[in-house]
Amino acid sequence: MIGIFTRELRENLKWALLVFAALLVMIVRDLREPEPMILFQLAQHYTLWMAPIAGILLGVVQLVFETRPDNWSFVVHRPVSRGRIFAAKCAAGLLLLYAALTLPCLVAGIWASRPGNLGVPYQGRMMLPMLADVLNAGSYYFAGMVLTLRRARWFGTRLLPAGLALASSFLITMFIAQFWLSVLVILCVQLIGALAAWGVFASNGASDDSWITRLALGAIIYPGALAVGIGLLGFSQAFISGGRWQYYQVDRHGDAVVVTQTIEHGERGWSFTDPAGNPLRQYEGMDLDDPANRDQFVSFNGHLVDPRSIPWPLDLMYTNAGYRFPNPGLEALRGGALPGVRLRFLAIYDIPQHLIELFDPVSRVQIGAIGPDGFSPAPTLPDRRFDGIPLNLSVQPRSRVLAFESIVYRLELDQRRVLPVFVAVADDPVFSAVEVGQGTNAKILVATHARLHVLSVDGQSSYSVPWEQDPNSCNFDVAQLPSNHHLLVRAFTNPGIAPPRTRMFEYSADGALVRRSDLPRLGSLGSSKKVESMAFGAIFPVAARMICPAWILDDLFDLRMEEFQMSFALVLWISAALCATATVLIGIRCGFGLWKTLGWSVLNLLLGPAGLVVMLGVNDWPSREKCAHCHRMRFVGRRDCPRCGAALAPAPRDGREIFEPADAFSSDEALQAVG
Amino acid sequence: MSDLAIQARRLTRYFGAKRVVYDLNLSVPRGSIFGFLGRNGSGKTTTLRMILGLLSPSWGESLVLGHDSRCLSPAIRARIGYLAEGHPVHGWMRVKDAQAYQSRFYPRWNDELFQSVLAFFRVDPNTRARNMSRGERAGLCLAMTLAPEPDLLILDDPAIGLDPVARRSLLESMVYATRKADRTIIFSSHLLADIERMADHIAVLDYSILRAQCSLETFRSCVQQFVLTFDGSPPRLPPMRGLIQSISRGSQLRLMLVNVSQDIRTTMQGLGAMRIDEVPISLEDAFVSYLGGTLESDRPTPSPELALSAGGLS
Repeated sequence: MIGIFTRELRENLKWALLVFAALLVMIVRDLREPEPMILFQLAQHYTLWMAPIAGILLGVVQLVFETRPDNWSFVVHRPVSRGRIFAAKCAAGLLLLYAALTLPCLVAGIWASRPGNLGVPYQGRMMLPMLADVLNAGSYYFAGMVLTLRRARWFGTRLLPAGLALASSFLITMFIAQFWLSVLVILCVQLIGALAAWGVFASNGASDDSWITRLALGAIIYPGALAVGIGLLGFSQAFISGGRWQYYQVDRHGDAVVVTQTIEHGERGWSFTDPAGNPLRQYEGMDLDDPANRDQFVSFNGHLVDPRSIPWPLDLMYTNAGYRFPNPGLEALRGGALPGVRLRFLAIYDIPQHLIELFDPVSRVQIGAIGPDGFSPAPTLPDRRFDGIPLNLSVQPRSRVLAFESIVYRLELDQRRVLPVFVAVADDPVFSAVEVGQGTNAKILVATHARLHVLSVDGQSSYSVPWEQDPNSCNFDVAQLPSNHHLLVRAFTNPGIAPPRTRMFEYSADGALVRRSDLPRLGSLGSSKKVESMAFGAIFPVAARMICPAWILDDLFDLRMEEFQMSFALVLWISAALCATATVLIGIRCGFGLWKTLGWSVLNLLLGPAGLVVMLGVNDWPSREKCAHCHRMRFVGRRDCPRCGAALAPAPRDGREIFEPADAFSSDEALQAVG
Repeated sequence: MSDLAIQARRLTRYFGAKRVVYDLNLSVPRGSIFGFLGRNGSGKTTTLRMILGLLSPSWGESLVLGHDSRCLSPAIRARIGYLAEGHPVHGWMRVKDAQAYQSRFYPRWNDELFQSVLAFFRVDPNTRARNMSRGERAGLCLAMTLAPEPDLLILDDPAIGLDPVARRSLLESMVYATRKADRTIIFSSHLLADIERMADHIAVLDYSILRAQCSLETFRSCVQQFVLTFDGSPPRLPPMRGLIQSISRGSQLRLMLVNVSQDIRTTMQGLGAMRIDEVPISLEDAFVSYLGGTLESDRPTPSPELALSAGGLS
């Protein structure tokens, strides 16, 4: 085994060096002009795609020699079990892969940990995104092995085994916030990939007899088949050149306006009505692309949201928090001073240290730190630290407000200080805060679970009102009306809460609710969204529909499944029934037997067309020939004819046979003993 | 212990709808040098790979050194030397690397034998495999196969692509290696000269079906050639079992027959020939005629030359 391991290392070292050199050059090039959050950017820019390419490359080159059956025979016919040969191969391949990808990342990590290089405090968690990408390369490595050795056609299912690794990449980059959970997902995917790769290696690419390796092969093909279906659907949308959409705008007086946007032959046009559908003549012919019309409508630039009330996976998109983001480790404070005042340092909220740290942008050395009591020059630290974790900074990166559950501060970083503007009562903690308006009209809005507090920028309370909508089920956009400086709050129900609705509340300067309006849900125009949703139903698995709410699919794929539920469900079930029927027919054609046919039919009813692809991918398509006995078709791989039960006819004799009695086959007993 | 090194019963293998090996029963005596003959694509390699457990049969079973081919343990594999078709070897390895790599696996590795085979082929130990000539590469592969001193040596078309000198060297090495021990050798080839020089037993595969398994002498004696001289044009031939070729030239009819029985002799005499002469035939001619004839209607069409020579059959 050591011999095979060292041979594999020697044989594939050049590819690992190529990967190492390419990644190192890219990383070093970026390190020459570093951004403060460069380690996260390196993951996003390089390891996210380099790791999959490297994994596939190593997997392919390691098995390309064995694609010729003679070479494979040379590799496996030796006094070592195939399992040990495969294990030695994988150990060498993974070692090379991980070394080639990890070493350049380590160079970046060591560089970043040196004071004066990064310009922000170095935290070990900054390495986690790159580490997750590097670990995930192993998933692609096994996929590369399978797609190299498995017998399949390039225009058929050969590339599909990369599907699970691809799904793993999507999961760990977009849907999972915790590093440990990402590692767990990666390990599971690699275990499945390794089993599938073992199956194809042990049988030189044929369909292995072991059910577990076939199951693993099916599991890695399935996401690929599903992705191809979704990709084809997306590709077909690229040919739709026009369409009509509706959305709401709010005019300078706080009135809702329904905007209908039309694109025909590349030309954009708009029409404007009130929510009841009456045309608004004052906007007739207005071109919304014209910058002169930019101030015609209110821009909602403040958001009040409690991320804990947003269900997974959209909470990650709302908060930009997780191991792949600087938050919850560091958060840049970009709006720490009055508009027009330029800070001569970089301000970072250091979450583990509970301090605002200031760095010189040229020397990248820490100037000092700000705590609740004021500034302390480096290397001393303020005595008192902030209490808790700052709330949704990433939603409002340019806000001058720093909010915690118990207290809200206004940032005056140009003065190197923070001023407390609001202290929450014990049973009503803050969940969000934001600054709206400009100049003397600027206000600080503090959202607690019970009330919305409106303060002047120096912390004087203007008014406080109870929520008209439950903040545990809603998120809010806020703006100040240009005409009268009234506060406008637009409440959206959180994803997953039915029925979805949008409401607007307008408050006067003294806190009186002067207007409350319900904005009816705008339907889709034309048939394209309906067709899209129905086409999606044709490829979507019934099993996933049972566990995946429609709003997730609507949000992820920009569909209207909630709106066209019936059409979607109809197509979904018709497609599932067709898949099950096709499975039965294929099962009969392939001579599966009752239970196997039934099992696959149920599975494909649940898994949809992609399941059908998996079934064809993991089962050999049996050929047939005429039975010499009954002259009907029999499967060539079976000893007995399913129709007449006759065993395979002996080889026909033509009179040329020359068999010496001494050499005639005479040891049936020995064979029977083995059989 | 069985006195057979290899036994196969009803081995059958399909690739898709193509029948590659059909209902093959084979037994190879221990200590024999067994030539496995057949035309390209007749199923020799597939049979050997099934026997070695490198390919699953569609059905049927086989024993190698008394063990089921489907689950040969590493210890049994250590006793089987296999030279795959095309002389596969890792191209980047130098000869000494290949030796070091291969010798790790085999406790009975005979370095002296390895070096002597290399010397026979004049292979420089510092040459990389990818820079070797075909002959040198064949020598290296043979050395790697022989050095573990296997009880059973399976060589799949070892002389393929070699020039006559290299082929002769290869065969002499094999003879040298085998005669030193009571070793079974099974080797496939479609070159008669190799078989004639080496083998004491042969098996002949003809389009997936095993047609012959016998000693070389038996094969030679079973295939006979007769020249029938007529007074005028030869008559149309009646159906004759065992007829593999007939060529009509002027008043002469040349017949190639297998397993000539008394009935066939009677049939020949009944044709009204003035003379019937049995003409000696070389093994190569016997083999070409044996595999060149077409008797079954479902067999692939033979090459144009063979179709011409076998014209008298139809």
